Amino acid sequence: MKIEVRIASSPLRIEAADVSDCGAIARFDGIVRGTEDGRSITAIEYEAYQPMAENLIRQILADLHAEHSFALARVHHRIGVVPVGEAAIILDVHSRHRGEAFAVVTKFMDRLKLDVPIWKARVHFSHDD
Amino acid sequence: MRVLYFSNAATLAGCREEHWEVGSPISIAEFWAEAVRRHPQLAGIQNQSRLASGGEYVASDRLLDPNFEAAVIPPVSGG
Repeated sequence: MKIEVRIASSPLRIEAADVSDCGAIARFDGIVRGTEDGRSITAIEYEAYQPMAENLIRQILADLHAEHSFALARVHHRIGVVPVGEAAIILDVHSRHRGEAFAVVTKFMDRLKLDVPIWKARVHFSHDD
Repeated sequence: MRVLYFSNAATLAGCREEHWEVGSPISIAEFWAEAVRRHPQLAGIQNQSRLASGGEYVASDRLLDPNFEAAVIPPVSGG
């Protein structure tokens, strides 16, 4: 089992991975929407308690691996200003069958939103709103 | 003890980091009493926030070791 975690201010990109014996890749891209609370926005600024966030993401994925076996899980989260239409998070999970991959993606995102110290620090609203 | 504030905790405290002179481990109640004494507006988020010590969440019955950095963790909103 391999886990890759990256928290950085640059745009997110996950390259194709060569993982043998996997029949499924489930991927989730969390994209910044163009509206927040009914108002147009241009970007969301994220901040993180980075060392704790990275460790906790690894711990969550290790916990999930005990429940749903997978070969590779990669989590890249962006911090700083993320413009509308760009990804704030990309998660992909490689496993033998689709059930494990989908389960890990769903359960990981639920845990992330409960426990991982990353915040939407500031919403940048459109000037014409 | 190095104390870190994040998100709206940093806004309410008016700083992201400070140093407290603490000689021995303190309880969570003692931590919050000191934090609110320094920054009264933090009282407004105390009930929704968690504390971390050394990069891990602290259970309610544990003490905070001044040799590790402490952090005020308001409700998270990543992803």
